[in-house]
Amino acid sequence: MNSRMDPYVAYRLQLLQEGQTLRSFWEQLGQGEPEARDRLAKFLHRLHGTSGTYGFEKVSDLAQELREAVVARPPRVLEEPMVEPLLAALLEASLGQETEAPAVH
Amino acid sequence: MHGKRILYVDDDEAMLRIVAATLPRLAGVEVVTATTGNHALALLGDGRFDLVLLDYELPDFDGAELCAEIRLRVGATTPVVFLSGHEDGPQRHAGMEAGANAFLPKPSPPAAIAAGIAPLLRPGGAAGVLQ
Repeated sequence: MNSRMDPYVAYRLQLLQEGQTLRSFWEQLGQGEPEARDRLAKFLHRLHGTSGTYGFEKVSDLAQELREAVVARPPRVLEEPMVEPLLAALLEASLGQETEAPAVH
Repeated sequence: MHGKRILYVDDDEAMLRIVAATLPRLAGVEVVTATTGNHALALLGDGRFDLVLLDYELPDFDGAELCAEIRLRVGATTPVVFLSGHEDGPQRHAGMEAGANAFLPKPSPPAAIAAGIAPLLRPGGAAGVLQ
């Protein structure tokens, strides 16, 4: 843990990485990898909670919506465009372009 | 609440960073962090804490099991509070059955976390159960 960096700045940098992780997990789900759905659902559950705590409401809400879809539907029914809004929100948040200012700053 | 010391247990380092950075200002507490249940139990053995704040899913412990273990070690006088995204699931019931005083939803803004633990840090607060 880098204790010198402002936690808000550190998390914005982390969100960029989270987008890459999401893309990777989504591809694994599409390839039918065993346990891919559980792995993705856990990732989205954590992203929902942590991003919301930091005040990134859009990322948090979209992560929760996508998690509910992943848990509810078979992988073959999940379409590629479903992940795009969250990927875009992660990029916006990491670049400081979110429409609402995070609550912690 | 100034001078109080809390232990926050979560395997998500971003959560540890934001809680450790904001609660001292918002709640006047010192925050000590642990990333595993075993690390938390070791810290509880080394020092006194006025409240334990717990995630439910940890790499080495189920939240209810850890809560029960903490209760065995610290007795009934130290409040235990969950901060978890499972506030609507069976985990809430299991956690409260294991001896937790409150179950705060995740996400919660840091100000809401501070407000959620405040009543339990007051004198006699550990006797309370917040639903």
